[in-house]
Amino acid sequence: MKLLVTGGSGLIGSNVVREAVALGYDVRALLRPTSSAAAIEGIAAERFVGDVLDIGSLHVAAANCDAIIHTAAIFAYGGFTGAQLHDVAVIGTRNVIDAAAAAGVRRVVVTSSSVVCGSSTDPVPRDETCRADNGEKSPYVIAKIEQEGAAFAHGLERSVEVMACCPTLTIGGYDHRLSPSNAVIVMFLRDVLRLTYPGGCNIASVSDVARGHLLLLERGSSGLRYIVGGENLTWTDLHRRIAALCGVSGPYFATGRTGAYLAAAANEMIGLVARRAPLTTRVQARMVGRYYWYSHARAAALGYAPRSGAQALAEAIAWLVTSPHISRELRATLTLSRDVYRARLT
Amino acid sequence: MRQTGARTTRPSVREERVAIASDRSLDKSGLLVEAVEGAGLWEILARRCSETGRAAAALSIVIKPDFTLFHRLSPTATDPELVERLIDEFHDRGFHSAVLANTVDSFVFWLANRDVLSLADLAGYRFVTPKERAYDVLDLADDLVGVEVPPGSVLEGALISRVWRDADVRIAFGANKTDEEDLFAVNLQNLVAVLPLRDKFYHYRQRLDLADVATELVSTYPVHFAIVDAVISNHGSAGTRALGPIETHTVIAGTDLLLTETVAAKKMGVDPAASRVLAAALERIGLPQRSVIIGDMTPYPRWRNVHPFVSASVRRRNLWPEASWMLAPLLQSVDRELFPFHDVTADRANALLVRLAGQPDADPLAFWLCVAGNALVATGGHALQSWRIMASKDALHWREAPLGIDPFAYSRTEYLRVPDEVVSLRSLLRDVPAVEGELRWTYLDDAVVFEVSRLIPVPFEHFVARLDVSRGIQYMNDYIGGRAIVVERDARGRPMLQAERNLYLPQPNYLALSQGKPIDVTKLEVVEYLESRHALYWKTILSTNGSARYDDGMVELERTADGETRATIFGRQEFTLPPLWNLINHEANASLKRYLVTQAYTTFFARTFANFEAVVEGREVRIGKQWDPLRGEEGGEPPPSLAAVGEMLTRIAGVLPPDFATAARRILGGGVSSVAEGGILDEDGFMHFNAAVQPVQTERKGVSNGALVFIADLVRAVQQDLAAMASPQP
Repeated sequence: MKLLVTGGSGLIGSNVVREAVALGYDVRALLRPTSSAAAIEGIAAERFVGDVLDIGSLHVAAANCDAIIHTAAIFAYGGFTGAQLHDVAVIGTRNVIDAAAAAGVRRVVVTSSSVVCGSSTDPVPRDETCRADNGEKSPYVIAKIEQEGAAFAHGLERSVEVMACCPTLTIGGYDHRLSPSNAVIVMFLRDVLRLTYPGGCNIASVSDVARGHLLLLERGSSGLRYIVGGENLTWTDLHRRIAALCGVSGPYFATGRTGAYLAAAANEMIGLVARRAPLTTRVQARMVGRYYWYSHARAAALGYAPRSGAQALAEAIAWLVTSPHISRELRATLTLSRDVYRARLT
Repeated sequence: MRQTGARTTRPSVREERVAIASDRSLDKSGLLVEAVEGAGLWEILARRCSETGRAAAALSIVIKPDFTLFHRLSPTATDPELVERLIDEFHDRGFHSAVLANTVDSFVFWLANRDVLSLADLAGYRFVTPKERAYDVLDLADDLVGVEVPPGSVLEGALISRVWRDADVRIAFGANKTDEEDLFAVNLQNLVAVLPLRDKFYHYRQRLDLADVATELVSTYPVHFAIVDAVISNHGSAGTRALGPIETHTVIAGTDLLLTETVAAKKMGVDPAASRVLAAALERIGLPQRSVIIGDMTPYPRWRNVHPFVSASVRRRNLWPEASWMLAPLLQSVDRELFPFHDVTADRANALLVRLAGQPDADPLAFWLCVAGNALVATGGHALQSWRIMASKDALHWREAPLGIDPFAYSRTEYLRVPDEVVSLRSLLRDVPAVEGELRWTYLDDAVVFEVSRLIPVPFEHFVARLDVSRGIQYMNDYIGGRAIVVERDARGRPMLQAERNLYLPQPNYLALSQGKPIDVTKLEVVEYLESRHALYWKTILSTNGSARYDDGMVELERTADGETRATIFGRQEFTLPPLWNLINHEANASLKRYLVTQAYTTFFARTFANFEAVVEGREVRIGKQWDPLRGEEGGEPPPSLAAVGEMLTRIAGVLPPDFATAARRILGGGVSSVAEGGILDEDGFMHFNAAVQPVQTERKGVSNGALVFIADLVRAVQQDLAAMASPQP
C-alpha cells in the first residue's frame, strides 16, 4: 500500500513514517522545503517536497497513493497567531482531503488532539464524546477543534473516509524541533527549583501513537475520533518518575496556578530577549490544575494497546539525553537509571 | 614532586658575552659600535659564515627592531638611526644582506597606518642608510611555513615566516622600556612580533600565555645576537602606553638573549624574574653556564620602575580577556596625526582616558585612577569569570598550554612504575566504608585517598569501543584544556605510555569566588588494555601553578559478570586552597570538612561518570569554547570593537516588542504626545501610517488589552489557587 504522510519531519509524522516502513508500507513523506529530514534519516521512505498550504504540491504528492495520514500541523502554545494556526489546521486539512479525492484516495487519517475532548477539574478520564469548554479554548485548541470539524465535513463532501486520531501528550524520539510535549520533560530537568503543579495529563509513547494512526487507517470508522493515549498521571507523579529515571532529586515544590503563570510569563520574556521559543507559555500555564486524563477504550477496541507510562518516559528520556535539547551541562548532572538504558536497547 | 622536567638543556657551554656601552664621551653611534664590538658581534658573524659555508656578502641577516611606536621618535621603539648605523657597519665589513623585519599587531584594528611599511616610515626609517645603502623592511606575515617544534609545544601547528626561520643570523634590537604588566619589556616581547597573526594581544597573550610563546619561540629560533637601545629609554609606571623619556645613554649588546635581558633588567634596578616572561624563559632555558659581562652594571640614575600597585592591578585586569583587549588601545597615548583612530567613539574614549590616567607618576589622581580603575575592571572580570565557572561553563575559553615537560626525557621504567605506585595506595581503602553511594575516602598526609565506582548498564565491548580510556582524564568533569603526548603505542596503535597536562576549573567550583586557581597538573600515564579491563594510571610530576601537591590515580573500566561495565576511579589528591580558605582552621570543624569533601567528590565524580556515559552516547562533553585560531585573519572572526558593542546594544533593543517600546515611551513620556507613535516601524527604520484607522487609539487599545489579559489571567489563577486551598483535590 502506498501511503502519503504529511508532516513527515515532525514528531508524530516521522514516527508514523518509521512505523509504516517497518510494517511494510510504501511510504512517501511530505516535507516542507525548509524542513530537515533528520528525523527520517536512514529510513527507506520517499521524500517529497511540498506544503499542505500549496494545493498543487499536494495533488502531485497524493498521486498514486492509496491512503494519507495527515500529521502536518503547528503544535505550539505560543509564537503563532490564531490565524496562522487556523490556516495550517483547517485550510491545510481541506487541501489534503481535496488532494485525496482528486487522487482517488479513499481513506485519510487526520492527526487531531485529545484537547478537543477538553479537560476536567477532577481526576476523571474523558472520552471521545466529551467536548472542550469555552473557558479552556486556547488558539491551539480552537484550531484543532475547527480542523476536526472541517475534516469530517469536507470528507463527507468529497466522499473521503476521514478518521480523527487524537493523541494525548506524546513523548519520544526523533523530535528534532522539540515539541511542547517532550519539552515538559526538558523543562522539569532544566528547572533548578524542580517545580511541580496540580492537575495531570495522559502520556503516550510516540511509537504507540504512530501505531495508533496506522491502526485507524486500517480499522477505524469514518467520521469518528479516536483518542490514542497511554497512562493517566498527575503532574507530580510524572515529575517524580522523570526525576527517578534521570537520577535527580525532586520535585521539590508544588506551585499553584499563580506560580506557574508567573513562571511562564518570565519564560516568555526570557525567550523574547534570547530570541528563542520559550519552553512553556502562559497558554500552557492556564492548563495547570486541570486533568487532561483520557480513556482510549475506543481505540483499544480496534486493538490499540499502548505501553506503560514508565516505559514511554524511559524511551523518551533515552532519546532526549542524546539530543541537543539536553545541554552538555544538564547531561552532566544526570545519572540515568537502568530503565533508561534498557529502553535505549529496545 | 619532580619539577625540573621543564628545563631545556642549553646546546653548548660556549662563553657568552654581554657588553654595556655607556661612555659619556661617545655619541649614540659610538655606543652602538662599542657595545656590538665588545659583545663580539663580528666573531659571531664570522662563525656563522663558517657554519653555513656562506661568504659574508651572502650571509642573510634579519634584524628585528622594536616597533612599539605611537609617537614620532618615541623611546618605546628602537631608534632608526641606530639601526641604520648597524646596517652601515655590516656593509662596511662586507655583509651586504641585512634586512629589517616586523609584523602588524592588534593596534591595526584600532589605528590607521599600522601596516609594516607605514609604521617603519613613520618611525623614521628611510629605507636607505646615511651611507646610501638600501635596505628592505619585510613583513614576516608573508611566505609562512610551519613552526618546527616538538609535540606538546605551545607553538605546535603555528606558522612562521620562512625568512625568519631560514635567516643565517637573527638579531633582536629592542628598546629599553618599562611595561605596565611585566615591569619591563625589551627583546623577549619584541621578538613575539615575528609571529604572523595580526591580533597579537588575543593570540599571544590571551589564547596562549605570552611567557610560553616567547620561551618557545626563542628556543626554537634562537637569536644570534641581541641589542638593547637604551640611549633614550622609556620609564615610569605607564610603561609603553605613555611617553616617559629618560636619557640613559647606554647600549647593551650580547651574544645571549636571556643574559642580555637580565643585564637590561639589572640596569633598570629590577629583579629580572619580576617579569613573568623572562622568569619563564630563565626557568626553562636558563642562563649560560659561562658568561662575561663588560661594562657598568650600575642602575640608571633617576630611573622609575612601574609601581607595584599598577603592575599588580594590570595583571589582574588582563585576566579578563574581552575587557583588556578593549582597554589596551583606549588607554594608549597616541599621536593622532600619525595614527588616527578608525572609530570616532574609540578616539573620544581614548582622549578622555589618556587625559585622566595618562601620567600616573606625575599625577597622584591619575595614579589612583589607574589602580582603582584596573581593580574595578579586575573585580568585574573576576565576578564574571566566577559566574562562568559556576553557572555558565560554556562561556569559558579552553586553555591552551604546552605540555611543560619533555615526555621523552623520562625512561620507560619511570612510566611503568606508575601503576605499581597507584595500586599500592589502593590498599589504604580496604576497610573504609562507603560514605555516599559508592564513594569511599580517607586521608593520607593531608591528601584525600578515594575510590568511587559506578555500574553502567552498557555492554563492556560497546563501552570501550566508544570511550578511549587513554583519554579518560579529558572526559572528567570541568576539564578545560591541556595536551597529551603519546610516548609509546601498542601493536594496534593505541597509546600505552603518554604524558599529559590537564587543566580543570577550581574544585569545588565555588572556590573561584575566593581566587581559587585552576588545577594544572602534568602527569606521566600508563594505559592497559585487557580483554575484560581497560585502565589508565597517572602520576603527577609537575603543577606549573602550584595548584596541586598530589593528583595520582587511575580510571578502570571492567566487564562485570553480566557483561556490563563497571567504571571505577581511584586517586590521591591534594589541591592548594586559596589563601582565604587557609585562614580557617579546618581541623576545628572536622565534621564540616568531611561533609564538604564528601559533597565535592560526590558531585565531581557523578558528573564525571555522566560524562563517560555521554561520550558513549556520542555526545561532546568538553566544557567551554574554543579560541578562534584565525581571529583577525581571513576566515576568522573579526575582533570586537566599540562599534560592535553599539550594534549589540541595538540588537538587544531590537528584540523588545514594539508594544514594549511604545508602552515604555508612554510611561516615560507621560502619555501620547503625537500621532507618530501610532505608526509601525519597519526593519529599515521607516515609520508606516495607516490613514484609515486611528493609530493612537489602536495602539493604546493593544497595549491595554495585553495588560488587561495578563492581569485577568493572573487574578483568575490566584482565585483558582485560593479555591483549591479551600477544598484541596484528592
